[in-house]
Amino acid sequence: MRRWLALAAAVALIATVPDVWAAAALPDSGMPWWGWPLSLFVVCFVLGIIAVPAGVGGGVLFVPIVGGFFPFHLDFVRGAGLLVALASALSAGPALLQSGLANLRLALPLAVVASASSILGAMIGFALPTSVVQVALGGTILAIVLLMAVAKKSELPEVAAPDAISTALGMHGVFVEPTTGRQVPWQVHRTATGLVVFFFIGILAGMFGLGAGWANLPALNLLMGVPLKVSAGTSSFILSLVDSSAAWVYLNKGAVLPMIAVPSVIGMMLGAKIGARLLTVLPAATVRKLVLGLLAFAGLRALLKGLGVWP
Amino acid sequence: MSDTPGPAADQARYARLLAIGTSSGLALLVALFALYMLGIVEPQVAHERLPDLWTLPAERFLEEAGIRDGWGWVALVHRGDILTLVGIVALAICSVPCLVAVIPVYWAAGQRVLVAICAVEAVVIVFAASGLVGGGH
Repeated sequence: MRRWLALAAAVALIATVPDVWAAAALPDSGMPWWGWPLSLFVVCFVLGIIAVPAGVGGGVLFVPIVGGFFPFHLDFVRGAGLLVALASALSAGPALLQSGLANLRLALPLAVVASASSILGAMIGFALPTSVVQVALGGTILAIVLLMAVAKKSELPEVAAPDAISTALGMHGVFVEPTTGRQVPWQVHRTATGLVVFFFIGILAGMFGLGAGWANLPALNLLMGVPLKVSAGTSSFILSLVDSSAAWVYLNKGAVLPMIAVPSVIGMMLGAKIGARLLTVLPAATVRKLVLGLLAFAGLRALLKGLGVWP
Repeated sequence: MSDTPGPAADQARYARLLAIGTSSGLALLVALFALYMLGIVEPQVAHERLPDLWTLPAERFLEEAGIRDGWGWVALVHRGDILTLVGIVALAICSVPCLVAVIPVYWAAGQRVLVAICAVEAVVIVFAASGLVGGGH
């Protein structure tokens, strides 16, 4: 009952900002300049709250939703989305490294590849016409929803033997299960394929400013055989390096507008803190379904906006 | 978590520096944004003009706002909106000292491949920051 009350409160919170959504959909709504950063802060705060129990990164929610319903050009939305993902990943990094949930030796080789390709992705994003990027963003978001809906997770994947690359790079460790204290040794396979996959993940992260936890996690867990919790922690840490590289391209291109980026970062981070506290109260599975529905709607909106069907 | 002493030391050192870099970067970002938002430091683009400009592509925005791309914004750092970029820069660069700091740990442990990987990652971020690719001169 308490969970449902909390969920109702979260839904009500979203419902209390209809003016934001309505005004956001209309660029000529007559809203004063300060109304936009304020609206952005409120929306990002709510997104931050629901992102944590839904197990979804803030960046992946931010770009399609703000891009679809706020009047900002997609360049600035992508730039702000990268900073939202970067700030969240940087903040989580120290605790993840100290607890062992993020593994530096596992992260670094993958991050090098994805960092370099994120620069390429950002350059591609700026080279293409906005409508093409918008359509590609919509398609990518819908694919992410599908991936999140159907992808399985493996708590402790079976890795019979590490491959030569992971052995040479020392990509192994011992994960201590926090609830039981049990020590679980882990090792990695299919590293070469993982590096190729992270190359493409970097391109998507740089091109759309989405953050890429949605792709990092299954790549580490299902492909390379990293335990789920180490995958989640390392995925977040990798983002801190990949998004740093891509963020510079956006900065150099003038696509980071403080009036859009900073309220988004603050709102999302504060919301995420509340979301983390509500983690045990909110019905995570239901919130996740709501968020996936919201993401699918935003993805469809981006697709139709790019095609000129729903400008 | 690792099963050898070297990596534990690397993780601890990286985490310590990252915590300092991130918290100071975020504090700086919020403080500078407050100066800009409250109009304490005059912006390059007046607040009231923003809704007309943020609908434009970034390239057109820079033209309209009279800001050069790449590191050209540094010349306008006395303006509130541009000054806020210093906080963003602090966040975007704070991983580099962490990467450099763990290089001696890997070197001492004889892990030359990881030394090279850390160096390359730091170079990739600095290369992106240089503006040699993706715009800016």
